[in-house]
Amino acid sequence: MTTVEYPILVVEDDDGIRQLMQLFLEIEGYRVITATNGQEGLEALSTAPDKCLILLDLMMPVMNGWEFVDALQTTRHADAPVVVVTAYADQVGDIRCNGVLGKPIELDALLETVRKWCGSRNGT
Amino acid sequence: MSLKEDQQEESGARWIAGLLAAPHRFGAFASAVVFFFLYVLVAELSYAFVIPPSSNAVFWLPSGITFSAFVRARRLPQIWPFWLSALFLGQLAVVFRHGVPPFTGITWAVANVLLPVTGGVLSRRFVRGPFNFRSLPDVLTFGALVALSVIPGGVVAGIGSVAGLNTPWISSAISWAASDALGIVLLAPVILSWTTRRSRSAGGLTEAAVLFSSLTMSSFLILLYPRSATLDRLLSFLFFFVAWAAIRFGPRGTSVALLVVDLTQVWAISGGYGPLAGPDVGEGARILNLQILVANVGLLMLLLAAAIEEQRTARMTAESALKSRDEFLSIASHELRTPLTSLAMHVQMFNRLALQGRLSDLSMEKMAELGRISERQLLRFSSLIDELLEVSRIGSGRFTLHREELDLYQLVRNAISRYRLDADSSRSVIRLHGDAGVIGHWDRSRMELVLAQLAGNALKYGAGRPVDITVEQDGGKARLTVMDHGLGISPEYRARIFERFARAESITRFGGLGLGLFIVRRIVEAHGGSIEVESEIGKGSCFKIELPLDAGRAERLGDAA
Repeated sequence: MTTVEYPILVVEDDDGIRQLMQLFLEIEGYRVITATNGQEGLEALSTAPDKCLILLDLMMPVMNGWEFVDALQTTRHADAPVVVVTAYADQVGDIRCNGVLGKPIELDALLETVRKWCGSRNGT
Repeated sequence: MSLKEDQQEESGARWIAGLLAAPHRFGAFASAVVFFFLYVLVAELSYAFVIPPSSNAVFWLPSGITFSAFVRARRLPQIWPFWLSALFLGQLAVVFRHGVPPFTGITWAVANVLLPVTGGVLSRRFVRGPFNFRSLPDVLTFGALVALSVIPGGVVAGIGSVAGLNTPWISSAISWAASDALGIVLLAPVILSWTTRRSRSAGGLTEAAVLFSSLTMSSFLILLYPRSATLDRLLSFLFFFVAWAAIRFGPRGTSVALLVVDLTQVWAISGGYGPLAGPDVGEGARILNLQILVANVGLLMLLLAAAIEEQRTARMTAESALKSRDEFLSIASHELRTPLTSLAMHVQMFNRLALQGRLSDLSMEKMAELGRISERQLLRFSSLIDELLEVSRIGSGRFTLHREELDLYQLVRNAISRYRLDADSSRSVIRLHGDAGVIGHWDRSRMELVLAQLAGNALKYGAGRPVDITVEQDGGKARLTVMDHGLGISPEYRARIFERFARAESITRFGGLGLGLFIVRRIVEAHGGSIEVESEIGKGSCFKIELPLDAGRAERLGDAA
């Protein structure tokens, strides 16, 4: 098993989806930090070390995905890779991101994306 | 309809309420002074319409103003005394300037006071909703109001005329009432339709400019140009423009178009011009021609405008209902897909691990956690389906209550313990207050749904602050209060939150079908109860439900949806 350097940040307001993503990615050997909205996501970024990937939901209370990406530009994490995870893939618009994953989430596609940005874990 | 709702629609009424709200009634005094001068000015203008042999004006325009003002102020009688004094004094000033004998002058002033008072009192009793000529009932009510309002003034003024001018009572009374009525028919639609909230007309600004310049030019040409048989025949052509206004510009455009045509007519017959005032037409007949024409065509065109406006409103309502249904379908499928997404992930994860022979990677704790998560998603899924079924039952009128004896406090306590999990995830605490043993006859599952919706909303919009639920008994009623200390609801949304598909917050922030409060209201009403909400932005919202303890009221919702 490769040592995990940087965790993945999952920003998702739906408890079920967020917890399952975390569970799945942890089983696959990744370290995961979660936030339930954009505001919490920014707070998580300001305290912890760099993230290898931000998995971002769009429709969230307090601070939604679009606002989160805008706010991200003003932080030192401006170049952190962001992959948007949304049921409304057609409404993503011109948000600055490195990829879009549709909901319902295909675990294979999710893992592929995570591997691309964070490298392989678990020897698989 | 309450004063508040009327005022929202009627900008005129809102403005009057503003006058009354000014310190020391300053606004009311100031408006009375303005009223006085306006009255004198318009009355002097109307004297130009006195066409001998009649001693009355063809149209007594001041009546149009006073009638409209009192109809608009029908729920604000505090301002009536100010305006009545102003118009009484204004009328005295006018009659004495024109050398009317004192007794006659005073009776005339009294007659002019009686008219708006009668109009105000009658409209207070019979007018429903914003009075803006946008519906057929509005126009018909208007016709009836005018006919009734002019009678007392006519009777009194007739007495004055007999005493002072020695004219026959009955003909004076009738001609007085007729000139009042025509003054109202001419001016009130303009004033009343322009002092309510604007509705978007079908025609644009350019079209309005073309219409009104053509109308004015044709009126002048046909009515004021030295007589010619050819032009006389074109009289009815003018009503093409008025009908154009009625079809494209609603009551506002129609009333202004009528004003243009009618004032030009008066100008014409007083100068002996135009089709209505030929040398072969006697003086009395001219005036009668004109009055009949104005009354008939005016009311006819206003009816046309109202009919078209009703149709347009119905079409717009249908279109917006269709649009919100489409929006709703997209929201509903998203809402249903969210719990399905995590359930699907659960299954996919199991399959992957099984295929890879890695099921042992899942510890017992992780397995238990997965089970808990999925169970909650299943619950959520089935409650969404319940919500949809409930709405379809309400919509189709197949909504029946199954009442049983319940302790509301107990029910709320049980429901809260079931929702504790949700409360944990939104980091809010639900606190229960009040009296145990509030016993009544209600539908258990419906009441649970009500509580689930209200508590769910309070947690969702409660910004992580505690939610207070209170159950109390007050005489024959049970009272349930759900109070959060979160976002609050802005006033413009507060009126709409109980409607179907309504949501105060953007879907980009908060999920949900937008049906919860609609269902809650219908359930509460079916139990014969009521629901109200108080809210302040940033401070939170408080939903208060009152339910009769006994089944006394309508069990079925009928056409409620």
